[in-house]
Amino acid sequence: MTNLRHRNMVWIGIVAVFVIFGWMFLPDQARRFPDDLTFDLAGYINQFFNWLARRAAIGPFAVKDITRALAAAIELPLDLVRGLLIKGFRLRLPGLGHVEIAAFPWWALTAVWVMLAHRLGGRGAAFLVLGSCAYFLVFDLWESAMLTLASVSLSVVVGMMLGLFLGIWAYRRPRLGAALTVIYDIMQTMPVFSYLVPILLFFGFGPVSALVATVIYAMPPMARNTTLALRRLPGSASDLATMAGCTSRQSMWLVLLPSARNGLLSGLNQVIMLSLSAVIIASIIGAGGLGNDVLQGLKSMRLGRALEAGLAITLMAITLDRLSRAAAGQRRDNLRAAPSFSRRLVMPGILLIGLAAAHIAPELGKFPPALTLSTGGLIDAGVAWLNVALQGPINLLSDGTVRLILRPVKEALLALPWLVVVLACAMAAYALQGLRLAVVAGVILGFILLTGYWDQAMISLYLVLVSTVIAMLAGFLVGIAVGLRPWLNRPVTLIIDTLQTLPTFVYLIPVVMLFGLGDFPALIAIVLYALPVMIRYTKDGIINVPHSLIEAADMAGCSPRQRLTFVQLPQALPEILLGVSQTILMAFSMLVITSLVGTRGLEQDVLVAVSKAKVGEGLIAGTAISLLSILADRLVTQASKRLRGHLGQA
Amino acid sequence: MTTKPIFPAKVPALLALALLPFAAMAEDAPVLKLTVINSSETDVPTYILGHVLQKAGFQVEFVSADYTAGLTGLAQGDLDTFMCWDTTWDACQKAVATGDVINAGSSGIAVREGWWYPSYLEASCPGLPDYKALLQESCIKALATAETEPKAQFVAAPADWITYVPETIKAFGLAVEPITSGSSGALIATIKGAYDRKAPIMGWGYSPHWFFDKAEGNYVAFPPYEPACFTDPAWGPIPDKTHDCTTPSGFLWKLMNREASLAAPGAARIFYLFTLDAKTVADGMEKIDVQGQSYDQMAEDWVNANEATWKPWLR
Repeated sequence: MTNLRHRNMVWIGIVAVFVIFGWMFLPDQARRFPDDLTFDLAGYINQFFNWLARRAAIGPFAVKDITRALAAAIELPLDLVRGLLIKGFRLRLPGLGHVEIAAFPWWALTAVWVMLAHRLGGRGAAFLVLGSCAYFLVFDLWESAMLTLASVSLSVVVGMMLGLFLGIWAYRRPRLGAALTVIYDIMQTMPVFSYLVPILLFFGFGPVSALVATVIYAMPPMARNTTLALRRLPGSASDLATMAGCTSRQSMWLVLLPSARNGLLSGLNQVIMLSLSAVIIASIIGAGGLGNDVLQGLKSMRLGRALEAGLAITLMAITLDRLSRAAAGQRRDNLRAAPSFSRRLVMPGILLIGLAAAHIAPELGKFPPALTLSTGGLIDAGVAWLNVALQGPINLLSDGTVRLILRPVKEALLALPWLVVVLACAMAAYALQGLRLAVVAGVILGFILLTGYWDQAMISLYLVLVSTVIAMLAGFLVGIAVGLRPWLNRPVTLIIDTLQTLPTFVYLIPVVMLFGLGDFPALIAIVLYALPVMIRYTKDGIINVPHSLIEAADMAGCSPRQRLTFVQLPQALPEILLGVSQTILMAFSMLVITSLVGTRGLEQDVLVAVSKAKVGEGLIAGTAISLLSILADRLVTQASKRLRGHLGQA
Repeated sequence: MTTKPIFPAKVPALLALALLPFAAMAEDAPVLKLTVINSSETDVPTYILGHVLQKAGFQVEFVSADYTAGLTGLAQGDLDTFMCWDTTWDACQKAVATGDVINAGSSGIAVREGWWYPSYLEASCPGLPDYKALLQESCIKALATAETEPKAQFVAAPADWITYVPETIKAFGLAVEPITSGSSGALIATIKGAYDRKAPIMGWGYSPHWFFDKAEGNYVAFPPYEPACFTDPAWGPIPDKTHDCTTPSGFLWKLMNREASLAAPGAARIFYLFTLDAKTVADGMEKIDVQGQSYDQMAEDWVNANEATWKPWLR
């Protein structure tokens, strides 16, 4: 072990020497990457997409026509769900002329959902559903909520099926699985913004494009979980299938997948959560619904309204999460009597009555406007008041942070010669893992250099760096405080859960109002967004320390402080380090959103590419963000492995 | 093993049953999709247009879109009409150049854009609105922030708007650093936040807009725009620089998808004739942004009260 530590020290020494000498002797080309060596990849990508979208053809069909036909096919079920929930249908039947079928009224849907929730998850779930529906109704968000529900449920279904298929494929071909894992990493870390434009080109403006974007973002966990769950099955399961004479397909669908059910459901659960978190971005390309309400509120600065809609998204996420968990926990109980015939009829009956009522008296289908309310004005006035009242402290905080931390770090990072950064990164990677990670680091940074996005990448990196460090420190301290006081655990967990389901955009609302534009508000938004993860992992790590160890420490006469530093923290270290790498990933994913308040790194290129419909620039800047976050994650993971090795933990 | 299959056999059957109605469904009159961009100055005329079209018997749908994503949608026929700001003229021209979009002319709504400042800034920068006030050190100092010092902060428009701010700064040699705002919402929030605090601020303003129309302030006066200013360095007060003048601003332009105009010529005619004045728009925005009315309510009221205006647009 000392040998290992010794080697690390040597590496660190070499890096330090390089940095110092780099400053003095490096030629200019090694400081600023020469412009004429960069490669206009974006231009080629743009040309390629232009060709693909306008001229390319497979046989007699233009590519665009094929994707458009696909879009039309996806739109069919979407229209169906939307028709049932909101719009109703307008049919032309031969011989009968137009027939209008109304959508289900709110009260029928609410009743049926509450009953369903009760069956799935008992009284608690039923109340949650009732509360959510009441919230949507009272804040006049019913129609938006139904629109969101329709598109989210469809993208969940598509994401689930696609994920299942890919997951099984990867399970059957492990080598392919390894390649797919890399692709999933990129899919999950690539900002949705960066592929909005290509999707728009192929699938048109509207809910279908939104669905495609959502599925790309939300599908990977399903595929990962499927493969993982299948691999974890004991060999006896597939042996059983073989013995029973199953064909390979039967063995998969009748034996293996049902046995892996819990793993699959946790994947599904993640798909639901991610789909909901993509709702706002999806509304940029026409998804409508609650996401659009948030976006509209943000744009017209009706923050109260944006917050109401944002909370509605959160509520929907919590409810669906709860229901899908309940479904996951549910075991088919063969002993319980099947519901009687008349009880089975209750729900369809309510729906039918609802439909009939909607036709006879359409007024019954509308929630009485007198019962709706809005806190919008109040919140806006409150924020405006805070803005004036807290002017002094806010200015002090923001100016101080900018002068003492942000500007120095930013200028330092920008001044670093690229050669030094690349070499230092590669060496760190080599010291932590070996040649493979070093090559990966070199390739990633080389890609950024060659495409000419180096300065932007440094600006992005600086913001992520500073905010991760702050979030890590704060989250660590809060996590310890909570972990040592078990009674705080429940309320804090609840708050964290809520914060984590809040869409990223919602974080921007109060931040912009109080702190204005620039790097400081962006910093605050990123820290707020990344903080809950760090708190969660730290506190869980400390709480999960085996009781016997704590007793042993007490018996050995440790003071509480000694117990914390020598027993609890080292034991909790693996989880804390996992928290660190998650925090970095969260910071990167929030980074893109902060471009809306005027940060200027890679994220701005992604945003501008969306608004100017530049496919190539968006994809490259997005890829760069994705690669940087993957690299950071790998480095931290390796560092934590190392650290655990040092501490004698496997 | 008492697990149940993931997909009960019922599901496909139910799906097939559920899809049946579509077999019977057929499109009749095309639904016109009007782009709304969640920004009241542009959406007020769009909603009024939509309600006029409804009066003329067309089916109308208001589709919410991000401004520039909407332009792509317009060119591809997913959206049918669009209101284009002069400041994004290049993007609009690009859409027209695809051949799938036609420019149906000006909406008559005059647009004003430029360097906006609140009136109280004149205390720190005497001489405003003349741009020479920005050359004084005290004025720059008042506008500097921790992030931009020693330069002054300028709250610039989102990066995709074509505002020529960097060019203007260079031309006049101003010690000003533009901070991009990323979204129109952030732009307004920043300027309004500072305005409420009475803090010195300068940024990109535009009218018609509920905030800039109401707040006490003015636009910095640069030499008036002439095309030669952008191409000929000799033009204007700075002999060796182009862009030494104000940014051109004009009207809200009406764009329409070509195929939509062919499919519904009656609607296209209304769209060509449709014009409003700035006051109508400002009144509408007041109702939306200040009184909290719904767009539909506002548009319906206008249509009912101004039959004389829109009747001639119909055939």
